Amino acid sequence: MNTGKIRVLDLQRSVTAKNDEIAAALRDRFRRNGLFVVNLLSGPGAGKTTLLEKTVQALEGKLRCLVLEGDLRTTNDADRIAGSGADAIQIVTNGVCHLDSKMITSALEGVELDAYDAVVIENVGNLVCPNSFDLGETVRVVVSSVPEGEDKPAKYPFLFEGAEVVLLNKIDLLPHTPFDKEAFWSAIGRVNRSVLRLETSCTTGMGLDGWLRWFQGRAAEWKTAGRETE
Amino acid sequence: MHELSLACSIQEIVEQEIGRRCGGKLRGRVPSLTVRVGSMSGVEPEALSFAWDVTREQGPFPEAHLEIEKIPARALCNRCSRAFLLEESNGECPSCGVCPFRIVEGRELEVRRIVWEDDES
Ligand SMILES: Nc1nc2c(ncn2[C@@H]2O[C@H](COP(=O)(O)OP(=O)(O)OP(=O)(O)O)[C@@H](O)[C@H]2O)c(=O)[nH]1
Ligand SMILES: [Mg+2]
Ligand SMILES: [Zn+2]
Repeated sequence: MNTGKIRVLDLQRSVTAKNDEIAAALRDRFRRNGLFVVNLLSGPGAGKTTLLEKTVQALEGKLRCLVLEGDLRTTNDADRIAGSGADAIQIVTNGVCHLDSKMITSALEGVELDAYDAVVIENVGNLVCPNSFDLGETVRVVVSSVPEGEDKPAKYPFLFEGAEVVLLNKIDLLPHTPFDKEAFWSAIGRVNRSVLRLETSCTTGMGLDGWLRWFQGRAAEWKTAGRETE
Repeated sequence: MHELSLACSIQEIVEQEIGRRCGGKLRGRVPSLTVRVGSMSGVEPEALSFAWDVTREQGPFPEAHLEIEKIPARALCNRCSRAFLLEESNGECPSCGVCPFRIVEGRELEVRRIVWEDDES
């Protein structure tokens, strides 16, 4: 076998560039509609869907929400949201461990975004994979829960680094576990100083008022900002 | 496993770069390519290697060996400006202890080099 001419191609090409490009187009579209978009991230079972059920119930008549539900296999989560009174679209990833911007684009095909003030995208429950994929969101919110232990921010700093809000959920379980709250928050503070720290229980409702205030305030602010840039 | 989607993206980049250099029609062989993976990229190098071995089989360059250059996360202390490696530091600045820092390196996920053996005579 004769060998050919060896050529070394030196490059600097981001592996996620294509996803980022589609995400940028989504972000433009969201901004044009004055839509506040949250990418909701957490490990499996931290309470994302429960939080969203409570959120859409509390905001009914105040804010028109659309929820996109990422799930590996089932449509249960979207059914739960629809049962709480908001529009929900299920994105079944068929085993893929994260949502990407292409999935969001196809899920929104034909959807009248004018009909909404806010979109929440519940990502697939996974601490690592969704992090690499921009979805065109306005902000990232991370939910971490007491049973997962206080070491998650130290183990997965990249997840917490880019969040505008971190919710520590299931605080009703604090009396029953040796969870070290101080270690949890200080590990987050080290990589993300400006993060809003909230502590909630979606079962007792504790702390949800702070979350709802932030959500409504931020969505309203975004709507005005979007209009002003037109 | 998100490494599989990333391996597909790497495959696309390889095909684009080589296609661009031979008028769209792929030719030659790719003995190796180099990808930089930051420790804060959320990508597991071993998982990416495995995903690549699955992906390359189905592509035009099944021989392409993936070399991964691991980039450790480098942080800069906000108080004293000392640079330190996050993994070696127990999550705090070695000079002033627990204090805020920012991560300046370690998020990389990029194709840096493709070795292409052009067989056109
Ligand atoms: N004790 C307690 N349980 C909670 C709380 N919030 C949610 N849960 C429970 O935790 C379990 C998982 O909640 P989900 O809302 O389905 O969690 P999720 O993050 O959407 O899960 P995935 O989508 O599968 O990743 C359910 O059994 C909830 O009832 C809380 O504040 N306290
Ligand atoms: Mg859920
Ligand atoms: Zn220092």
